[in-house]
Amino acid sequence: MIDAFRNAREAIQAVAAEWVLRLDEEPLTPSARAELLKWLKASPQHVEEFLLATAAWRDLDGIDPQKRLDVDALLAEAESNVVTLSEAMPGVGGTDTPARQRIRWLGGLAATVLVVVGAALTWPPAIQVQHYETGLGQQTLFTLDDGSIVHLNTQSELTVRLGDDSRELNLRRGEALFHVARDPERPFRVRSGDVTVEAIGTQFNVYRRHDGVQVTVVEGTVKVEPLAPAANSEPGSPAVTLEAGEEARSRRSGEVARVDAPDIEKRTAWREQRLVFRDDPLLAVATEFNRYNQLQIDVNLPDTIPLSITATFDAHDPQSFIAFLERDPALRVTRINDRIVVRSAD
Amino acid sequence: MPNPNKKFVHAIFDEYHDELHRYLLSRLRGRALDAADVAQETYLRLLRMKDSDAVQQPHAYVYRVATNVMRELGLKEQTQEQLPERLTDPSMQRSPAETPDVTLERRIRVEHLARALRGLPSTTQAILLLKKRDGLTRREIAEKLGISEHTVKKHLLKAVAWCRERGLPDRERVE
Repeated sequence: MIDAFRNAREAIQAVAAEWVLRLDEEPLTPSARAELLKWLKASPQHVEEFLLATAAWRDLDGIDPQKRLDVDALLAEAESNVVTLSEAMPGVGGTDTPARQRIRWLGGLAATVLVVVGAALTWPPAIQVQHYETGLGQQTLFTLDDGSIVHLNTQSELTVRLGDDSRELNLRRGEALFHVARDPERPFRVRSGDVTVEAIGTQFNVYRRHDGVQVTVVEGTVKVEPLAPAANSEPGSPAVTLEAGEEARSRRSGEVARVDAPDIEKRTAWREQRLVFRDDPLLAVATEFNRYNQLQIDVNLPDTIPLSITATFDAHDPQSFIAFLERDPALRVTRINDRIVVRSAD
Repeated sequence: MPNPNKKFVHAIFDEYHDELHRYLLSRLRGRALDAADVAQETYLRLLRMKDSDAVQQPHAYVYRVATNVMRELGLKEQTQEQLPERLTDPSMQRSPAETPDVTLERRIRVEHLARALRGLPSTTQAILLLKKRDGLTRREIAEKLGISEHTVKKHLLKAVAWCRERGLPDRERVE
């Protein structure tokens, strides 16, 4: 599913290729080295694309060792048959418009995703409002008209308003990963519950949990701002600025707090329908499975049984998780229709 | 004119060359998860180290870390399992660096690459040959063709993207 992030991936690929070419020809100045390091440290995808571009470029070293290809003939051929680079390479040159891509995506997903496009009455009439929604166990991916890419997780609802000087989104429920097209003129703001997340060009995940909103930055920088309480005029807690690899959670009290040592892979594994747990309480694991499946797991254990899970599961395969629980002698697992109840064996 | 940096970069490439290819192969053979895991772990290790150590040669650092990660994750064994039988004959199983299967694998790859490049616009092909086969610098190519260095670079960037996407045997051919 990562490959479906075509535009975003291509942008990273272009930068990676640029670095590989620079390394091939120019001695890197200390500031260029620092810049490369900073870029690599901004995202695991940068590292991946850098490695892939390096390997691809290096492979070209062995090209045509017998010198059978004639450069002059190729150049003559080019003159007689002028083809621009972008026309010759659809996909690489980014000739697909975002709108067309969106239509293509939605075409394939029409059965599962509800999209409503209409003028908002409460908004300047020129601005279109788009509404995206996914059902239980569904995920969808689409490109907005500004080129930003959104990956919407299960049971989620998102409205999008793209204006001339702003991009306002509202994640009403669920979870989404945003890969924001850079546009300093139009800040990209995602509101969810009690916080607003603001970005210029970056990649971040927003998960609206039952007990607050969790914001995780994969790449770039975002600002997470609590909404000021409507009823009183006192300012809310201060905004938190997050860099790549950082995370913050909002609490019921309205404050936004930084999370220590978040696990970025875990936060974005949902795009591959994977659920990653590292020392997570059983209840949290069950809650995650329940987001994706008709089969609901009900954990009914006394607090005296601390049980934590470290594992990776397929989100659509709760059975393997249940089988895992059934093997635990301390637990009793019973099934009633679409409901699995986990109790203490005593 | 010899470029000392280029020599140095090539030395680094050579050092990690086979591992980087295995990485590319694992990605293109659909083992995207392995490739993503390697990148993820490399990234995390990169985050953990001091900038002052890495900034000397960030690329070399990344290649080295990625190579170590690949060894630790046993990616090599997994990709070898996917090679055709003749390439994984037990008598050929030696140190991965200079085994005949690596050489053969590389030859197959280069031949495929040569064919794949025919799909590029002819100007891009010509520029790529001048650069990689004939060893010209971007400036020399620009002068020879009477175009700007920037245009030369644009063609080369497209070529890298092209090779990254299709420059290796596809799954049907390999399996």
